[in-house]
Amino acid sequence: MEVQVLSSAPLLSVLRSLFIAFLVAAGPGPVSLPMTLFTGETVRKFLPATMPGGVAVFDADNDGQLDLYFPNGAPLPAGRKTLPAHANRFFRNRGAMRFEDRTTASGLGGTGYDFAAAAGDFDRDGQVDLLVSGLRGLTLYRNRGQGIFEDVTARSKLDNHGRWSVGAAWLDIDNDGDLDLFVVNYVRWDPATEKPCLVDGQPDFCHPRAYQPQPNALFRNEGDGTFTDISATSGIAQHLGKGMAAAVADFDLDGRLDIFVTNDRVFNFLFRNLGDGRFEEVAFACGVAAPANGNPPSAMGADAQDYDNDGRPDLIYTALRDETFPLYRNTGAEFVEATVSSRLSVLTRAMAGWGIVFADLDNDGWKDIVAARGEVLSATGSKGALAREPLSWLRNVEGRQFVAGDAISAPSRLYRGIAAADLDNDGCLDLVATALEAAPQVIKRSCPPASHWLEVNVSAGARVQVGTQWRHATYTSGYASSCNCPLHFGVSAGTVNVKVTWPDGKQKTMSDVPVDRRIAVEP
Amino acid sequence: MLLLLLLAQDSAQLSQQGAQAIRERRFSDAERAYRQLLKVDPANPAWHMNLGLTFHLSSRYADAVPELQLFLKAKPQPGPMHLLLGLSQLKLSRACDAIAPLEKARAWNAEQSVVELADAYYGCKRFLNAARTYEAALATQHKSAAVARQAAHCYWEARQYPDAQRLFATVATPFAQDADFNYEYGDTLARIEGPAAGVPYLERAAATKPTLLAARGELGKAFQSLGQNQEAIPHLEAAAAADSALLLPQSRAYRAKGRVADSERVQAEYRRQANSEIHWER
Repeated sequence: MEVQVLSSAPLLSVLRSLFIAFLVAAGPGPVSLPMTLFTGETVRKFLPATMPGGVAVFDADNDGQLDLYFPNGAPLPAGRKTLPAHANRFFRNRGAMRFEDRTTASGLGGTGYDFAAAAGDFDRDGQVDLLVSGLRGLTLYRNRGQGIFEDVTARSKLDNHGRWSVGAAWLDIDNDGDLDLFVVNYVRWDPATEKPCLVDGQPDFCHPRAYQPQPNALFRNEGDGTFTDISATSGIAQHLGKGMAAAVADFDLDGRLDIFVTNDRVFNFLFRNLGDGRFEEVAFACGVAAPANGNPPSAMGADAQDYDNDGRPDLIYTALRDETFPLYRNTGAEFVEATVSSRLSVLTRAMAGWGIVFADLDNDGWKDIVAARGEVLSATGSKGALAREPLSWLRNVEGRQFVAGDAISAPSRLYRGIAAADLDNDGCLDLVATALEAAPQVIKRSCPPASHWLEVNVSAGARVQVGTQWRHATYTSGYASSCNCPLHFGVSAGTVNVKVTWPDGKQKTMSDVPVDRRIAVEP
Repeated sequence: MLLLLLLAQDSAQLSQQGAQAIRERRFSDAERAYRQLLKVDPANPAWHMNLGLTFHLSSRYADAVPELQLFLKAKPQPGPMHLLLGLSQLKLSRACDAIAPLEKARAWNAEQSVVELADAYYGCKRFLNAARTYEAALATQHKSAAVARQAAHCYWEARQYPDAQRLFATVATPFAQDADFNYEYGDTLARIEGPAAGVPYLERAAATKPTLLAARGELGKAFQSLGQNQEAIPHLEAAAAADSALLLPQSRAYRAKGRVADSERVQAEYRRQANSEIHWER
C-alpha cells in the first residue's frame, strides 16, 4: 500500500499531529485506512469498549464519490478524547479507491466517545449532514459544503439526556419532506457502579442483564434547524429496551416509515407508524419480538430490504454464536421466520455478528447478505484468538435459500460496522468494515464480467422497483452505520423499467432505462 | 546439643510411627504422630504433607486441604501433593478450587491427573476447557467410550457443535439406547445440519425417556421448523412446563393449526412469564 503525505506543512508539525492528510491508494487486496478504531479497553473491561463503532458512507462534497466517516472511541471511564488518535475520522474519496484523511479540515473530529454515525440532509440544502451518537450524547454536524462541517448540536436542540446511544436513523416520519431522527439507546452505564465480570474464569465484558434498559428517542424536525423531542408523545419512550440498531422501512406499505429495533437479550421492537405522530409497538403481533425458539438473543445489527423480490421489505439481524442470524420474510400480513428454511440457521450457527446488510454483491438480481463478524467478548479474555472472525458473504439463491459465498479478502478481526457501496463507480458494490483496535478495511470487489447494474438516487423513504427487484431508500446500515448511497441493483444487459413510489403516493415510471449507469429520479 | 539430638531421635521415631500407621491405615495414630511432630517443628512442610495425606486417606478432606496448602506453600514445585489437594477439593465439591492444583499436577504427571483436571473444569462449568482436557485424556491410558462421551457432552455444553458431533459420532453405537446421548446428539445435528437431521435422535430420546423434557422441547422445535406443527404440539406442551421460552413456539404451532384462542392464551402466558423474568432489569 502506498501512503503519500499530501500536506505542505513542515514535517515537524506533521509529526506532532495525526490530523494530517493521507492519501491511501488501493492495492490488490483490501485497503487499510490509516487509523485505528480506539476502544479504550482496559483490564476493567468497561462495557463501552466492546461496542464501537460504525461507518457512514455518503457524498460529503457532492463530487459523485462516496466518502467515509468513522466514529472513534476515547479513554474509559472518562469517555473524552485526549489524543489525536481518538479522533473520529473523515476520509474524502479521491476516486479509484484512494482516500484522503480530511478530518481536521472537515471539523468532524469530535470530543467524546462515539459509536455511530447517520448521514442525512436534515436541512434540505442539498448537502448531506451527519449525526454522531455517543456515550454521553449526540452531535449534529451541518454540512456547509465542500466537505466542511459545523457543530450545530446546541442550536438544533437535540438532547438525548446523556443517554448512551449506539445507533441513529434519519427518516421522514410524517412525510413532510424533512428528515426526523430516531436514536437507538443501549443501556444505562455508570462506571462507578460497574462490577467486574468473569467469563470462564477470566475478566471480560459483562452480560447485558447487568445493566438497566433505556428508552429510545424520537426527534421531529421542525424544518428550521431545530428538533422537538417527541419520544413521549409518539409512544416510543414507553418501551424500555437495550437497543442495538434500527432498520427503517415501510413494512406494511401504508406509505409511512416504520422502525424495527433490535434489543440485546430482550424482546425486539417494531414501531408501526400510525401516521399521526404516534407509533404502536407491534413486534409480538408481527412475529419479530423473538425468534421461533422463544429465546430473545443478543440481537445486534439489523437490515430491512426485500430479499425475495416480492416487493415487501424483509428483516434480518445478527446475533451471537449459536443464536443464528434470524431472517424474517414479510408476507404482508405478518413476518414469517425463514431462518431454518433459508439455511441461515446452519450457515450462521457458528457466527457472532454485528453489522449486516442486504446487498447484491454479484449483480445477479438477488440481494445477498454481508455480515461483519466478531465476538462481543474480549480478545484478551477466555475466547482468545477465537474472538476474531472474518467478514461473511451469504449468497442469495433466488430468494429461497442462502449459501456461503466466496471468502471476502480481509483478515479476521473483531468486526463491528459494515456498509456496501460502490466506492469506485465501477458498477460493483465494495465493502467498508470497521473492527476493534484495527484499521477500517475498504474492500474493492469485482463482479462477474458479464454482469450489469443500475444505481438509482432518490429521496429517503422512496420505494424503487427495477425489473422484478425492489429497494427501499433508507440510510441505516447494519450496526452503528449509515449508507446515504444510491440504491444498487444487479440487472441483465439491455434496458430495464424503473418505477419509484414516494411515501406520499406519488409515482414515476420510466421505461427502457439503459443499464450500467447511475440515475437520479425526483418526484 | 544433647537436647536437639534427643529431639531429632524422637522426631525420627515419630515419623516412622506415622508412616507405619498410614501404611496400616491406622489414621488416628498417624494423625497423633504428625501433630506431635508439628508441635516440635511447626514449620516443617513434611509433617503438613503427611498429616494432609493422612486426612485425605481417611476421607477427612476439609482437614486435608489446609495441611496440603501449607505444604505446597513451602514446596510449590508441581508434584503429587498438587494432585492430592485437587482431589480433596473435588471431594469437597469445590471444583473451581481444584483447578489450580490439578493444573500443576498435570504439569507433573499428565497421565495421572488429566481426567481429574477435566472433572474439575466440568464441575466449574468451564466446559470448553473440560472438553479439551477429556479429549486429551483420550490420547492416554484413559481412552474409553465413557471419556469420549463426556468430551462430546462438554463440547455440546460449550456450544462447540462441530467438535461435539465429531466425538458423538464415535460413540453412537455404545450409547444408542441412552436417552441423554440421543438428545444431545440430535440437538447437535439439528443445529449444524438442520432440524431434519436431528429428529430421529430426538424422537428416540423422547421415546426412551418421555420425562426428558429438554429433548421433547428440541423435538417440538425441530418439528415446527419443518412445518410439522401437529407433531410438534404434544412435545412443546409437555416441555413448556419446564422451559417457559417454549410457550412461544407452542403458541405459533397452535396458530398454524388454526387454534387461535389457544395460541393467544399461550402467547399471553409467554409474555407474562418473560416480563416477570426481566422485570428486575427495569
